[in-house]
Amino acid sequence: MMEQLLPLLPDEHAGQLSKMELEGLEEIRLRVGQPLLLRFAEKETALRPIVRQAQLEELVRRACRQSVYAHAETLRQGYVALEGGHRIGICGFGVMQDGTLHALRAPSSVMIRIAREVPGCADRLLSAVTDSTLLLGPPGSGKTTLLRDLVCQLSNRRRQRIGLADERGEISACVQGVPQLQIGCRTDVLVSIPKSAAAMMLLRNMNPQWIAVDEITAPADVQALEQAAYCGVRLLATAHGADLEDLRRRPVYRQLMAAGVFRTIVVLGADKSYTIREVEA
Amino acid sequence: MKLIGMLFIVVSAGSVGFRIAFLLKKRCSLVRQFLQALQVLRNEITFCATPLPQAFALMAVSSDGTLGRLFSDVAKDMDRRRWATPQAAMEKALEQTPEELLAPILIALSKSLGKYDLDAQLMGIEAARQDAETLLQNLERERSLKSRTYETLGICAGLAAVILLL
Repeated sequence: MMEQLLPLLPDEHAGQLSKMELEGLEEIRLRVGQPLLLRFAEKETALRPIVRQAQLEELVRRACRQSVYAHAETLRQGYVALEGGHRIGICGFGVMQDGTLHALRAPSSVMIRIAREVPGCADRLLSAVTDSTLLLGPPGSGKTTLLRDLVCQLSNRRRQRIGLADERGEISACVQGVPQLQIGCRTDVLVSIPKSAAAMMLLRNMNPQWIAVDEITAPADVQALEQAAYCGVRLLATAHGADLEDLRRRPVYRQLMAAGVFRTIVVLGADKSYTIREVEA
Repeated sequence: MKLIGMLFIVVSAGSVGFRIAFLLKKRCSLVRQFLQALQVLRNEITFCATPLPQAFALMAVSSDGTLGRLFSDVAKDMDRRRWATPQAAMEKALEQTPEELLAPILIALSKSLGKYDLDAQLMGIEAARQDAETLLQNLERERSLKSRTYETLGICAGLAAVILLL
């Protein structure tokens, strides 16, 4: 895992990291003028020297393989997807054109989020997943990891045809069309296509029994999922939220709940534990 | 026996002339290949947003000989070393596969690639294209002027040698 990430980091930090025990590392944070920060499950470690702005620029260029133009669209959304399913979140100076964000320049902080594959983490959940299911949890609670394993198990063990709309490439970690993480032998994946469009493409072209999407955020996503659900396809999705109350409070999710699309809600905690709730039709 | 010897001298001297003329032709075809590769690069960057290592690999496929090896080396180096800039990868590739004719244009091109700004990169490709077009025009002119001369000179030198030996 670190073999992919170390070459991105400033040399002085990469040298230190290569000698450290990094088991359980979840995030690497670099902020201009601050030491590099390693966030583990239960601790943080700071590495000096402090990070310079030019180093962040270089990090982004390296992450893009010196081809920033190839990542223009995701950079506009503030991230770069890396091989292995890792993701770099970027904050910086926004360049606006005609009222929309044209580019993100001069990065001021960067967060490398390390993807983790936990085979079998959905074992207990699998028997409960018979109909459309929403995985609900706060950031870092393991929604994507759980979704990936669920997709893999439904595909391999239940022999279901899955259409995976992997907009950010985090679930499958596809490189040149080859998934780097296990998503199952009956899973068709669309990468880097907006979820709403990808869901409809999968529905029309791949005859899936399930459609899986990560992070429902926009009304267009909800609309596409509703449409898919009415076509007899079951859905697997994740959403940000601490509990069911959050779902009812947020307009986007309220619409989804009102439509009765999801029958099972899996609520994840910050400690990566989860509880299964059934929703009345 | 004498006749065979004379024929051998004429053919040998003539082949030297033809070889020089062939080299002139080869240089023109190399620059033409480079222009085609530039078109591939421009299309890949503009229409497919292909990352540079893959774009160079595609340029290698569309070229052959020295140029193909050169682009392939750049692609492999950039793929292996994420931190390698296009310029560093190109310089390294040129050390492994020297290409004197196009080296200045290739270095200038590689300097313009890998920037944040796509327009600046496209301008760099356009500048390389213009330089290569100018070079091709000069080479074509040289070829049309000298090619026939070298061929004729080779045969004449052979004949002169035969006459002197007689």
